[in-house]
Order: sequence, then structure tokens, then C-alpha cells
Amino acid sequence: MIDEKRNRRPTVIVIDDDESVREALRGLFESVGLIAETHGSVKEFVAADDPEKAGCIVLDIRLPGQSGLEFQEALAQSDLPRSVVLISAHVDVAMAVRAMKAGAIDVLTKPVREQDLLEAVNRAIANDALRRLERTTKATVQSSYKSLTERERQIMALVIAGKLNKQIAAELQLAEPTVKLHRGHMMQKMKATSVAQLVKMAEGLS
Amino acid sequence: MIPAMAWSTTADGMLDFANQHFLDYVGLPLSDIAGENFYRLFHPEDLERLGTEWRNIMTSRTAKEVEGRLRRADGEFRWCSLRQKPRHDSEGKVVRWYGVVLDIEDRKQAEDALKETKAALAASEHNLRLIIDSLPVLVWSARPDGSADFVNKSWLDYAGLPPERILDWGFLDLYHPDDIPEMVEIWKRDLENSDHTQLKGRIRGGDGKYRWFYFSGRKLTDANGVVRWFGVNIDIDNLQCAENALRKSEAALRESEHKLSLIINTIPAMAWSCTPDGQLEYWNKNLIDFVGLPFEEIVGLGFYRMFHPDDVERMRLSWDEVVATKQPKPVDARIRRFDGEYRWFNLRQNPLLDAQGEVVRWYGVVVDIEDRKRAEESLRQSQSDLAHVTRLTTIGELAVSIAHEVNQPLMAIVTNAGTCVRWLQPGQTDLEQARFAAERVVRDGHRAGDIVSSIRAMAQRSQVRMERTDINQALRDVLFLLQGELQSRGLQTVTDLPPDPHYFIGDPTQVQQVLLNLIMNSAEATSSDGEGIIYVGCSQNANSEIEITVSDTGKGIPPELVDRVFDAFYTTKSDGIGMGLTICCSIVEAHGGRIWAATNQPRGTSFSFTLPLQGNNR
Repeated sequence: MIDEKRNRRPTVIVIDDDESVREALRGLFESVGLIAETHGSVKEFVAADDPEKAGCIVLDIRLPGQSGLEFQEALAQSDLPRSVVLISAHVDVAMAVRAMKAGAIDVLTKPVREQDLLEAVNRAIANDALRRLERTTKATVQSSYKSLTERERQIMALVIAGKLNKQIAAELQLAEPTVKLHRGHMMQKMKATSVAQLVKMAEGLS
Repeated sequence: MIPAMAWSTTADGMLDFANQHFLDYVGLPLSDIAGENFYRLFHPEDLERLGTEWRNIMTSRTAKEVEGRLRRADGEFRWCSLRQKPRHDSEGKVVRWYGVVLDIEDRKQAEDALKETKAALAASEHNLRLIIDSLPVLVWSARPDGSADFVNKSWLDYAGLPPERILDWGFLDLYHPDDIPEMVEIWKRDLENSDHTQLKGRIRGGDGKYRWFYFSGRKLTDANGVVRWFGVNIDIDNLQCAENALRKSEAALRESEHKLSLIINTIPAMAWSCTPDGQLEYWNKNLIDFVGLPFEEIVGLGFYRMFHPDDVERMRLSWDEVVATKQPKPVDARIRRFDGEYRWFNLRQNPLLDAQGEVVRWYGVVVDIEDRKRAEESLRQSQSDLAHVTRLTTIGELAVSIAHEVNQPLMAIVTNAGTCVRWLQPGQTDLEQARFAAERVVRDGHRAGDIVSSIRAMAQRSQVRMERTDINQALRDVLFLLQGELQSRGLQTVTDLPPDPHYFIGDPTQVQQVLLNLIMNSAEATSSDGEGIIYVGCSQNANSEIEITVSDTGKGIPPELVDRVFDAFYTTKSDGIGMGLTICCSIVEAHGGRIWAATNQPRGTSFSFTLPLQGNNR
């Protein structure tokens, strides 16, 4: 139980090659009650990473080996995107654009005002939480969808398309009461209370 | 008794009488000398002459005094005068002869003595004349007025003239016209005021050539008060020629000494000489004029006072070494001018050695090199400026990494400070945490300071310092400054540094610039594919030098161009100015080291340079 609770407390993962900076950031985050975890390089982080851990990553752009920017882009492409705050001693516009395109929460210039960093980190954590929530919802819809029969999936597609029961029955060459029955099962399985909700759920499906 | 010896003879010359005086004189009775027996009285040598005379007298019947030697009673032959007179009869016939004999021995002896004396005198005079004529000198005598009354044969032979052309004042025609005035003046003066004279002059010989003679004369006054001068002229032409030649060569020597002295004193350099033990003994005028010190103050070892106080000790050591080793060694020093300004001089010296190789004297020159020194200084300044500019350029290229490097501790400081403030906020105060954060601020502040000062050291335009520097520390500082840059380029750095310090004498900034340049060149030449390696090594080589090598696995330099990389304005970079390695080269050489490049196998380039090792790693 405790572990589960801890796991739910967001962790700030710091990746910076400078030990002083790592130490300072850990001190800062701990002072606001966040759990901080530090790594000297991307490689080190990857080896120890637990993708399920909630929170965000504070990533130095300039790192030995794979750079922060490259790693951030790679993360964005992955199944489990993370909320990333980039920091660097020298940030140019091109760099910032590239980072934001790849979904960075913020790009901050070292030395960073601690208030700015904390705000960015809080946003990142919130963002992460939301994404995790979305991901959880999406996963539920997906598994519900998988439980549907072929006929129910056909009817769901037509419902989302805005067809009436009569139209559906005509299209599928079914009797209208049969359509109603399938539609009821489908709505039940999808845990949808309205067509609008169903439509929204369908957006999360491929 | 007449005191004379008297005799008489018959008309035919028979002695018939001799008075008692005569008989006593000859010590014989008349009977022994009568008749013709008187002939026995005559000296055998005179007998024939006297007999002839007597017969002639009797025949001519004319009286005649004859002389002859008669034997006296004691047996001694004595000269006597024999006189006779005939007595005639009325018819004029000679009846008898009467005569007297006078002993003239004493007179005769006096006469003989006189005659002998005269002969001896003549012989002596002849002898003297021979001597005088044979003397290899010109002998003369002169009257009180100075005119000649005698010259010897040598004189005549020399002049090739008869006496009358020389005597009286004739000799003056033979004197050299140039000499006559002075000679006559001296001759006249000595005639009047002195009893001797000495002079010199040229006399024309029979061959028409003049030769130098030494004249020496003396006044003689005889018993009668007659004054004459006697003298000789001695041929001193050879001597005079030799003397003239000597005088000429002395004059020439003086002239050449004078010229040399003029040269030494006029050449636009300062010259000096020292004794074998290094004490100053001569100093030319230029030098005296320049330093404005009296010679007495700089002679011996006093010359050190003209050097700049900062140079004195160095000069003393250097000169002591030169004197001890007898090996010349040029040295530069500042010398104080008379007006107090110091100028740079180059001092050179050379020993004059004897056959044994010992130093007889040191000679040297002191050459003003102030202008050259200034030019060198200016060149050095330009080089230093250029080095500074290129250093700034390099640092400019490193700006990103340097910003990163400086920002890391700043980032930590700012963050820690913020943390500290949070821990001090009311409600969640945790002094221990605040203290930890503050301690981290202090630590990172120092670190930031170190980085900033190392950058400033590289960037500042400082005077060249020559100090004992640890190459290891210099290398570590440069690598520290460059680590971010190298990391960002994806380059791996491999170092091989000795564990203990290795010292050299030099300017740390300049040597670091060389290291910075070489490492940056390697970094730029090496691709950032993650495989690039830069090797930095330092060791002590076989020549006891520090040898630093920066090697890479980059694209390398074609072997035929390896030697050109140190040329000015040679570059393989599109944006380089080609001065980096040129400056490296001048810096390394200014430190007494060498720098070279080599091509690595299979790829890459190695740059190495050396620095003289100072001390035994102490």
C-alpha cells in the first residue's frame, strides 16, 4: 500500500552531467516535498528507468553521449511520452523551437530562477498526471471495444457516424428491434452513457 | 905648447915632425909614425878615403880640411879634423907641408846625434804621415779662422781632388748645400768660444754622391801660442741611414699608432682591454665619453658600476665564467650613459693567447644595441599581441563551452541559494537543510571563481612572465577548460600524464595557449561519430626534456604538407587564418623547445613539443 502511494507521488528525474547542479536541484526539489532522482547521463537514466513512475524529467541539453535534445525527441516518439523540462547554459531559438515541437514543457536557461524551474516542473507533473489519466482512460475504452462482437462494432461505428436506429437497421438489413438490442449491449460494454461520450471514446481508438 | 896637435911632412908627404901634444894623444913615439907610418893611425874604414884625399891635396897643392878617425892612445878611434897648409919656396914649389889635427870627436858626436835625431824625426814624421794618411777617416787641420791648412790622403782620395781644391775654404764646395748654413754656424761659434767642435754633415765624394760625416775637432795651442785646430771626419753614412730609417720607421710606427688610436677612438663602438684576470686596463674614448666617468673610477673592477644595478650580478657571474674558462661569451647588459639614461649594449670579448694557450690580454667591444633591443621588444610585443588575439579568437570559439562551464556552478549556486531561502521560510524552517544549501553555495562559488580566473588568465593581455611552472597543472587546467567542448563534440579524451609535477621555466599562459591550440586543432580535425579519440600525453624524453604530445584520430594531414603546417597563413580550415601553429611554434621556440608534427597510422595527426626541464622535479 505504501509503495503504491509513494509511486503515485511524483518524482522529478534530474539528468545533468554536473554533480553540483544535480545536488543543487535535488536539494531544491526536496525542499518543496518532491522526490528527486538524479542521473549523470541519459545512458545511466535509461538503465535505471521505471516508465511507470509518475513525475517529470529535468533534462540538461548538453550531455556527454546522447544530448538532451535528441533524447527528448526520442522520448516523444515512444509509447510512453514523458513530461520534459529542458535546461541549458546556452539556448538559441532553433534549439527552443525544436524542443517545443517535440513537446517539451519548457526550455529554461541556466542559471534558472528556482521559481521558474519549480513552476515548470509543477506544470510538467500535472501534464504527466493528465497524460497518465488519459492513457488509463484510453486503455479502458480499448479493452471495452475489444469485448464487443462484430455486430456490436458495426453498430457502434454507425452510431458514431450519427445514424438513427432505422437507418442502421436498413443498412445492416436487420430488424430495428434487433438493432436496439445490440446497441444497448454495446453502450453497456463501452460504459458510455451518451452518444457524445461514445464519440469521444472513439477518438482515442486508432 | 900650443893646445893643438901639430905636424909637418916633406913635400912628398912623409911625416917628419909631430909635436909632443900629438905624440901624447896617439901615445906613440915619432919614430912609430914617421914617414908614411902615420897611416896606421887612421881608422881602417877611413884609410883609403884619407889616403886619396892626401894625394889629391899634394897633387893640387891646395889645402883642404878633411875629417877622419884617429886612434887615440887609449885605442879609441876619435873623429878629428885634419888641416894642412903648404909652404912654398920662391919659385912657388912646395917645400914642406904643415898641419894641425883637431879632436872633433865631441863635436862630431853632437853632430851625429843631431843628424840621427833629425833622421828619427823625419822617420817619425813620415810614419805619422803614413798613419794619418792610412787612417780610415778624413783628417784635417785648420787655422784659427777656420780655413783648412791640411787634409790627409783619405780626404783627398774621398774627394777625388787635389789638395788645393780642398784647402783654405775649398772644402765648403764639397759640403751639401742644405747642411752648410748650420755647419758653418757651429764651426764659427766653436772657433770663437770653444776648444772643440762636433758637427754632422754630408760631404760630396769623388763619385758625386754625398755621404754623412761626423766632424770632431780640437783646438791646440802650442808653446809659442800658435793656435791650430785638428780634427777628423768619420763616415757615418750607413749609421745615419740606419738612424734615418729607424727614425722613419719610428715615425711610421708613431703614425700608425696614432692612426690606430684614431681608429680605436673614432670607430662607432666602444673598445676595451682587460688583464688576464679580468681587470679593465684600457677603455677607448667613445666609452669614456659615453659613460662620462673618469677612467680611474672604472679601471680594474670599477667598470661594474656603469651597469644597470639589476644587471651587475649577472654580468659579474658571466665575466667570472669567461675569465675562468677562457671562452668568449657575448652578453647583453644595460650601461648607464653620462646623463643617467640606460641603454642596452652587446658586450663581446676575445682573448689574446700566448703559445701556451694562456691569456695575455682580453680585448672587447661594447656595441649599442638599444635600437635593436627596442625592435626586438616591439616584435615581441607584436607577437604577444598576435598571440593574445588568436588566444581570444580561440576562446571566442569556445564561448559556448565556456558559458556552459561557467553556468554550471552558477546554476548550482542560484538553485542552492533558492533552496536555502525556502528552508528558512516561516512554517517550514529547517536550519540544517538551509545550512547544507548555503555550504553548497560557498563551494560552488569557489568553483565558479576558479573557472573564471582560468578563463581570464587565458584571455588577459599579460606581460610575459617567466616562472617555474608545472606542465601537469597547465595541462590539467587546459583540459578542464576544454572538457565541455570536447564532450559536446562527442570526443573521447585519453590522457597519459605523469603522477608527479614536471617543471619548466616559462610563461604558463603562453604554454597553455599552445596546448589549447593543439587540442582544439585535433578536436576540429576529428569527426564526432563517437569514435573520435584525442590523446594527450606528457613525459620526460631521452634528452631530459618535457615532451608533450597531442594526437588524434582525425582526418590527418597529407605527409607532404606536414612540414608546412607551421608556416604563417597556412591553414586547412575554411575559416582559419593560419596563425595558430605559427604562434605555437614561436612560443615553443621562445621557451627553448621544439615543435613538430607527424602523421599517425592508420589515420590522424600527432603534434609534439618539448620544453627544457627545470630542476630535478623538485
